[in-house]
Amino acid sequence: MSFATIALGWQIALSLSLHPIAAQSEIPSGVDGLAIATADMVAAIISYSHWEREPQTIRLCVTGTSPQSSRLATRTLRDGRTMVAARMAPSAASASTCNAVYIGQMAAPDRARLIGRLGNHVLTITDADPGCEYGAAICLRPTPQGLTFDLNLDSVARSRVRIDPRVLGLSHRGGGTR
Amino acid sequence: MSAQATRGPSLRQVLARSFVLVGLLGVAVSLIAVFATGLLLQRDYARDNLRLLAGQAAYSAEVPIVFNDRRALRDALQPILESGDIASIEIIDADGAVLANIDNPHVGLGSSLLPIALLPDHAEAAINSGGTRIGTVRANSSGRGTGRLIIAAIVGSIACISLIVLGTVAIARRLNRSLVAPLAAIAEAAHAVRTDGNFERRVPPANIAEVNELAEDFNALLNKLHDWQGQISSTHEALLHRASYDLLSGLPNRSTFVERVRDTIRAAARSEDHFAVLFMDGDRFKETNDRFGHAAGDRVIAEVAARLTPVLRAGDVAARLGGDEFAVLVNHLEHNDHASAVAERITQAMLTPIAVDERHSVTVSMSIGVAIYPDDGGDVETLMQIADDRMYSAKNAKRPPVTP
Repeated sequence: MSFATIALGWQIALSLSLHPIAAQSEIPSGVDGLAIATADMVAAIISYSHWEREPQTIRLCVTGTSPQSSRLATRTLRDGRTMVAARMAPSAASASTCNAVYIGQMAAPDRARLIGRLGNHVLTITDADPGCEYGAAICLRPTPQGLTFDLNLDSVARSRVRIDPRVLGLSHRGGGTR
Repeated sequence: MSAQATRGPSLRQVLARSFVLVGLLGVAVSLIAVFATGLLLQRDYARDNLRLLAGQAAYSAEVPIVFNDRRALRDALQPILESGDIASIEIIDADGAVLANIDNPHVGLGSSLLPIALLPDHAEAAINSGGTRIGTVRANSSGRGTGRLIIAAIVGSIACISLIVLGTVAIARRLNRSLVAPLAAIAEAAHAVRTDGNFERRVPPANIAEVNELAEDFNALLNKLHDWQGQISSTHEALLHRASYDLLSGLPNRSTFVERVRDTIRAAARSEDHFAVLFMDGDRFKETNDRFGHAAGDRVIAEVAARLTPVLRAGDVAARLGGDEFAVLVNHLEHNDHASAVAERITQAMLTPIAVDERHSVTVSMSIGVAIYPDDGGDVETLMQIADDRMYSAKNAKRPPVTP
C-alpha cells in the first residue's frame, strides 16, 4: 500500500468522523434574504422538533450577536404551536426559560458555559459554528447555493429533544455544501 | 374395412378432437374468468398501491418542501421510484406551481405502451405539514403490474394449452387401449367372419363394462353362428347324401352313377383306359313284391345291394338305378373279358336264396347287359343305352325260372 493511499484513507476517515452533515434551503433574494431564510429554517426545524412535555408554546431564546437572526420573531407554527422568540443575554438563557436557544456570535468561554448549562433538554441552533464542533446540535451555514444546516451528531444523539428523522435526513445528503 | 375407414374420421380421431375442443373450451372459460378476476384484483391492487406510493411520496416530500429544498425533494422521491410501479411523480405546491416533475429512469417504454385504460393511471395525495396543506403529489402509474399480469396470463395460457394437449394425447391413448382397440378387435373378428367365414376367432375381454358386454355378446353371437353353420353344413351334407344315394340300398342313385361314369370317361380318355358299364335287372322281382309284400321286396333289394359290393374292386361303383335295376361300373379293364367275369361273379353271388320271411325265400336271378368303353361308345348316354339294350336282350333270351 502506497503512502498516497494511506493518506487518502486517513483523510476519508477524518471527514467521516469530523465533517458535519449539511442541508440546504434556497435563500430568497433581497436585502435580508438570508435573515428570512434563517427565520424560516429555524421555525421549520422547531416545527419538526418535539419536547418531552410537548409544550404548546415553544420559547426560543436568541442570544449573542447575529444579523442573520434579525427576522426571528414570534410566529404560529404549521401544527398550531406557537414559537415565541425572545432576545436575551447568554447568561439569561437557561433550561427552565428556553425550549430552544439560538446562539449567535459570542465569546468562546460564554458559549461553552451556555451550552454546558443548557443540558440536553434544550434544542441548540447556531449560525456561528462553520465546523459545527462547539456543541450546538444544529449549525446553520450559508452557501452560494443557499442556506444549509449541519448536524452535530454527538449533540443530536444526546439531546432529549426529538427531531423528525426526515429533517435529520435533509442533512444526510451532504452533497450541497461540497 | 379400409373402405369404411376412409369414409369418415376414426373413433379415435373423433374422441381426440372432442377432448381437444372440451379442453380448449375449459381453458378458455377458466382463463377468461381468471384473467377478468385478475384484472379486477389488479385494478384494486394497483389503485391501492398507487395511493400508498403517492402517500409515501407526500410524506417524503413534506420536509423538503417546508425547508424549500428542491434537491432534497428529488432525493427523497428517488426511493419511491425504485419500485418501478410509478412512471413519474409530480409535486405541486399549495399555489399550484410545479416544484418537481421526476420521470422514473427504471421504467422502460414498453410498459407504458400496454393498454391500461381499465386501470388507474394516476393517484394524488395531499402533502400536509402540521395540519396545513402545503402541496399535492401526483403519481403516474407505469402499468408494470398490469404488464406482468398480461405476461403471466399469456404464459399461463400457453402452459394450460400445452397441458391440455399432453393430457388429451394421454387420454386418447388410454381410450384407444380401453375403447378403440376392443372395438377394432370386434370389427376385425366380424371382418374375418365375413371374408373367410372364420368363426374360430374370439374377441378378447375389454376394460369398459359396455364394451366388454358387447365383446361377450359378440363372442356368444359367434358361437351361435358357428353352431348354426355346423348345423347348416351337416344338414347340407345330409341333403346332399340323400340326393346322391338311394336310401334303401345305400348305393349311389342314378344321377350319381351317371356323374361317376362321366368322370370315368374323362379320366379314361386321358389314359386310354377301358372300363365297362353293367346294367342288371332282377328277373321276376315284381312277383316277389306281389307275393310277399313291399317290405320283403325292400329286403331283397337291400340284400342284392349287399351282395354286389363284395364282388367289386376298389374304384368300381355299384348303383341302384331304380326299382330292381342296378348298375355297376367296372374300372380299369385289362381285358374286355374281365367285364364278363364280373358279370359271372355277380350271377354267382345271386344264386343263394334270399329269405323274405320265416318260411319263404327267393332266388333273384339277374339279367346283365355289358357295354365297354371305348369299344361300344364314348359317351354316357350311348354306353348306358347299349348296356340297357343288352340287358333286355339277355332277359328276353332267358326262360323265366320256376319258383321253388
